[in-house]
Amino acid sequence: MMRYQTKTIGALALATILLAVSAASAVETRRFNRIATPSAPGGGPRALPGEALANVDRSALVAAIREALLTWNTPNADSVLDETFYDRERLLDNLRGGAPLDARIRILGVRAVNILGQRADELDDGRKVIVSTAVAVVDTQIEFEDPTLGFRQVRGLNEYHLDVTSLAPQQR
Amino acid sequence: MMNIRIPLCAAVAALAAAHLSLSVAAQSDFVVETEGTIKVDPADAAKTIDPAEPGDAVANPPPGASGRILSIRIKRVINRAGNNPYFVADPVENADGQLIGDNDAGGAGLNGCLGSIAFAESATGPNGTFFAGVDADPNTLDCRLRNDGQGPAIIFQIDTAFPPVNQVEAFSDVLVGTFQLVPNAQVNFFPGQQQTLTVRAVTGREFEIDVIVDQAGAQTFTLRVTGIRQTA
Repeated sequence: MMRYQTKTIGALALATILLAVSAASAVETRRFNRIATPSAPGGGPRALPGEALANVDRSALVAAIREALLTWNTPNADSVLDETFYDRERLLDNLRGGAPLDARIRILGVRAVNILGQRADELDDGRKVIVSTAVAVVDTQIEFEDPTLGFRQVRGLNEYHLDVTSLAPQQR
Repeated sequence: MMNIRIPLCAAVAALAAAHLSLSVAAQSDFVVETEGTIKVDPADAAKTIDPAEPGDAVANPPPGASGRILSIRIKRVINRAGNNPYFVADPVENADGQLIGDNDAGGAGLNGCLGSIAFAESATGPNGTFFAGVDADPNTLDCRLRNDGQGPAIIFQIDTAFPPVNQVEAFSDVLVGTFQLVPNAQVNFFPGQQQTLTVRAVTGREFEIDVIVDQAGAQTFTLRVTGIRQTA
């Protein structure tokens, strides 16, 4: 009699455990499936670790902006225009064909310069660089000699959106 | 238990505050204060251009040094006032110091009309009448193409039902009265023919537009603007 009772209790206990396990598997123990994400291609742009922006010296940046803008209406004008600049070739055509040869740009002042974001990249020669997206507000003046009106100064205040490529800090 | 929780909370709060202050410090390095407007001395204008200005004489870091700027590329120029040296249509002297027709004036500028749009059949007019139009702001010359029968600058109308069949008739909307063609007369042409039209706004702004109408079917027409430039 005792053996039957023991067997019955054991069977009940087993059934309870099995029920509990099946219920638990339905509710509690879900599988964690990885969310598939594409892997970054080797050598491509990568996000910098963390969110901190690498330092870009303002005075060097201002000097570089001045140097870049001074190529305006020179044979090197195309070297500072990004490939994504809207209607780039038309602008260059109008500069080559329509601008007076003596028209030059004077940088009256570089105002606020802000770095909006950065990404790490690598040049073809293997050097690691940081490409910073910068916005600079620059006060400029176009100067040229007009055959009828004489010396002309055409001033303008513009916001320049720039890609600035600088050498990345040395890896430690 | 309470004795342990309070120091833990305090420590977490302190760590969060320290992290926040570090983040702010890191960001603030890149927000440069405005230098202020530099007044132009007329005598100064005659000087030769010298890129070296006081305060900006600090050179790039030496070759190989970290932070050295290797290149700089202009991606976009947004005009705030006056001349935009990188204004595509006229980089030297756009608008005598007054901002008009600028493609970066917050609107599309004249360049907003570069492209194409399909003619749409008139919803109210006789069957077989198709419209496309050029809509421009007479002050800023912000421009866009539309095909709802409107087009203050130029309306292009094609009648496929009555002769001359498929002739394109271009005219300004006299009801709106902000633009008129120069000379002030309707221009007729047929699909496939390149046309250059001159339009003048009541503000005195004037632009030329190169258009061509493509026909792909009996009632399928596309207006294509291949060029547009401000002339006054």
